[in-house]
Amino acid sequence: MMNSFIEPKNIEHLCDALNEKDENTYILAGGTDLIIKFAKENISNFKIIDISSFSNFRSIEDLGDAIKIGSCVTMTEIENNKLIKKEIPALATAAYNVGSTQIRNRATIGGNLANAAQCGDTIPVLFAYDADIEILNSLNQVRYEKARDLVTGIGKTTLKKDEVITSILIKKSKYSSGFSKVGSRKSVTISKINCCGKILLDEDNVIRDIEIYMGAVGVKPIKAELIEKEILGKSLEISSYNLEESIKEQIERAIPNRSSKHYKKIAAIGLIKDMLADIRR
Amino acid sequence: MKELRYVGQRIIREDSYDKARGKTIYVGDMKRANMLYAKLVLGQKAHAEIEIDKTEAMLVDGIEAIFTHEDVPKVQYNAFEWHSSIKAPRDEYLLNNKARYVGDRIALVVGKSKKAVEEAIAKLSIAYKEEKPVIGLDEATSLAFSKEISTGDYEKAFENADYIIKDIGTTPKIHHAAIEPHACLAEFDDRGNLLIWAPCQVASQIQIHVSNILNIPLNRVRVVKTVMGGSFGGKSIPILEPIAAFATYRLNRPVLLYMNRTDTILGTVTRNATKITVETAVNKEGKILGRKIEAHVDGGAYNTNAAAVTMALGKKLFRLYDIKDQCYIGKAYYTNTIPGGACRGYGSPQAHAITEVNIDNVAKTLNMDPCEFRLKNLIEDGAKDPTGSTDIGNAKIKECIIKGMEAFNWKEKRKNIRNKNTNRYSYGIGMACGTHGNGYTGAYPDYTSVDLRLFSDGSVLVNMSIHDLGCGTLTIMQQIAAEALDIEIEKVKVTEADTLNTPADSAGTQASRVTYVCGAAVKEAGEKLRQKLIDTFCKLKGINQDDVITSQGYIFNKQSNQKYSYSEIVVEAEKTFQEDMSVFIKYKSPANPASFAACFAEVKVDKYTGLVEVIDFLAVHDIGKSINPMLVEGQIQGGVQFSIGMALTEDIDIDSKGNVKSTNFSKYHILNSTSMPKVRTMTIEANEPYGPYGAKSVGEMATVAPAPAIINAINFALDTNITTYPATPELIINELNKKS
Repeated sequence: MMNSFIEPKNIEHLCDALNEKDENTYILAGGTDLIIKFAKENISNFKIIDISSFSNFRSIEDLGDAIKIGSCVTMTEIENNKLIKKEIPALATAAYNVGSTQIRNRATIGGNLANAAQCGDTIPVLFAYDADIEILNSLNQVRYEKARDLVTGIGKTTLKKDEVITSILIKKSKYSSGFSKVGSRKSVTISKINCCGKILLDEDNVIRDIEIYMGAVGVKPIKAELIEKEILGKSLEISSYNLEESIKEQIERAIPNRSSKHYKKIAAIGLIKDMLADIRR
Repeated sequence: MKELRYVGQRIIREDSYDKARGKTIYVGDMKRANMLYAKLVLGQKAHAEIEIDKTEAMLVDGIEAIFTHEDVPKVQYNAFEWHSSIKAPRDEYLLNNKARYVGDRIALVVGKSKKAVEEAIAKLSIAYKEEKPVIGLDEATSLAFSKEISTGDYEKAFENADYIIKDIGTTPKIHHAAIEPHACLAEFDDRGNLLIWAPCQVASQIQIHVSNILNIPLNRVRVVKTVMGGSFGGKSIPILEPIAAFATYRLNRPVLLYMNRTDTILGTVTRNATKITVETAVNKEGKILGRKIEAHVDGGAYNTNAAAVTMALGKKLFRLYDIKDQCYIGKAYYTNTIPGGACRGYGSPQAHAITEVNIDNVAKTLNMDPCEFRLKNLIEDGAKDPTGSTDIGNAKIKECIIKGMEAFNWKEKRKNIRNKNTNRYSYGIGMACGTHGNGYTGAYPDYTSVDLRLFSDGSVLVNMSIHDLGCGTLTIMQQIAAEALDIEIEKVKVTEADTLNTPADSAGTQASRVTYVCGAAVKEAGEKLRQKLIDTFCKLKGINQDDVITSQGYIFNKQSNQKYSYSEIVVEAEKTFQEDMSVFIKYKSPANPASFAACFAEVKVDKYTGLVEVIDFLAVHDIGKSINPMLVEGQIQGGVQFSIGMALTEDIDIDSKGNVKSTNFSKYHILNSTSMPKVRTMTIEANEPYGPYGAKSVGEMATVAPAPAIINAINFALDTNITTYPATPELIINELNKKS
């Protein structure tokens, strides 16, 4: 088999390519996971649809009540975007914490989602913000699905063979947010556990609403309801001490049979503290 | 003494410009007409009979050959043997007949393109008939080597002791992580010699093995050392070269044998893992009376360096503290894991990793400051090795500690550091010291030859078998030659090893011997050539030596006040006396003293995530004389980075079935720049006799003491007794859980 490489110039071209997509065809958004997959699985016969410079998928748009992020926007672009920093601060922090500078210059938000790695750093943020994912198929039809529903397992999504993520839609809100992660070292590290918290504060600095998602403690990010319950109605300056039991219980429930739970129970205390510190910043 | 012009200067390495601009050609970039690409197929089971079906893979377009055990010469070898006089158990073949570890080389695929090779490897059908593997030292029973080294009567010392403090610790298998993966190119040169281009540490070692395995005379095997993107011991044992040479020999085509990162982690060698038990006997006054150390070394699936590293590990233990009654028992075992090989420090990092933590525990038991306790027990200047090995030399380890304590503000910090603690973070400081050698004298042949020639244009060739591993070795030799010969440094070129063209060298670039041994040879050659130049000049001009001075490539006749360039004298002498202006030096290293260092670390431990941040680091080294302070600092900083990896993050993670989980840099964690502390360095330069201008080694020494200094700092911060390396976040949280 000959390797082929298609770089679609317009939607029709892309739809044609999606129509012809078979099990040896891969969509390349940034390539930072795909190229490693090729090397690791010794895949030398492949066809590539390269959408990394497809202009329709490359912009961050202010829709007034929502923000539309093209699927091929890079982590570097997200971490430096003023609109995202203001409206979805946790996403900027998450993007900043992905891999190395070189990786962030290529890796995309659409790729991070479609790859659906357990440790994907932007995924808990998309879950916490109830992001809507815009998906295109080979017939040029568009459908929408919640990020939470799109990801179904480790490396698994509801995306069909002829579908591609085109953009991510996040509604603007009065919520502020934070992100944190714990890996094997300070930076350029894969998350052993990560989390996104989104909170609504009232005038008295009391947390009126909260949404926390934790990644890498299940096949996809989990909603940390026990921790949310503990924090709700309290001040943002809350001491983490009161949280310890609920955090440990949350981890116990998420991964009761994993030996890593002993570490993650303690690490999550630091993680939640760091996340709250990121919100305060 | 004459003021030094080049020695002691921060001379910039010539190779740095091309490297920084990406212009340097590494062996993996080399191309030849009709060249083939080759890649090893590495076994995927830790212990298994193998059956390989090549049929489908051979059908891949562009595949020229697939070799397995059946195709290679039935010559067993041990690639560790680096000199023809060294004999070690020989248990490897070019391609092995069985998978003895995950990573064992069982086939070689050769094709016209990398793509064809990769495709064929994917199509190769390998049936494994699995047997039970032996993984890790706790399961190991098959001895590869064992030896006891003993001085005095440690049992008696134990009887007289007030305290005996025992610690058991482990150190991991470590990947060298040179950025250039292993590769080499073999071809026949235009004279029919089998020519191997290799980024290697001992070209003559490759020559010996290729000659032996393929049955070709040594004088037809030419090995040329290429530019190297790091080695750290990893490229010391010839792994790929004999195989590439075989492929070229069989196919009569140039063959480039390459590896990727995963292959380099699995299919080469590692730092030997160890389990070390230390018992130290002391009296109340704080004097060490005796010590017993038993080290178990994981030798991996083939014998390789089992004996050498077990011995090297033990010998260092007699050269740091003044302990009359000491016993070392070293045992190396076979396991179904990656074989052991040289790795920067060669046993010293493992030995000190556990003994230096034990020393801190002894001090703690005695309620003594760990620096003060060490100062009471360390060896003195001019100490003799109690085992009868080579003299320790001008040992300035006490001075390292005293100067380091002052610069680090040790006493004050040790007293007050805990005041910085919060609910989440604990702070601690710790220190450790260590020693390493300067060559092979006392154990193995250590000689080198230098052919130093002054050309008629005044340029100088230092023809010798050097291997610059990226440490700036060539620059060091250039500085020494220019200094000794009294000529501008720009005029001096130094060769790297080329077995048919450069003079003999017994041991290559390993064992911390190059500056100390080869540098001394260059100095001797330079001084002799300068003297020859002066003698010749006097003869030509009919004057006395006293009337002559040299300066930077010129000779002055004080009588006539005339000035001649070296070039002019060479031309005149060659014409008049019909003799070239060169000297040939055969140098035998007369000694093998010790280098020393004391390291001081401050850490901040996150008690939730278990992450350790090294926030301050000071390394004080006793190096005799700094030939190039910039390179010395670079070696120390790099050594600290290497050693922090051992302390905190690096571990080749092998599961109970022998599968390796850390097969790339996203899972094998070397310390990256954001986690690297600013390393402060200090040198004690007190002149080592026999070293060139008083210099002794630093490159390996630099990896020895940082890790235990950091572990000691963590133990001080958390009041734990961690003796397991690396102290990963999980391990630290586990230790804290145990305490509460």
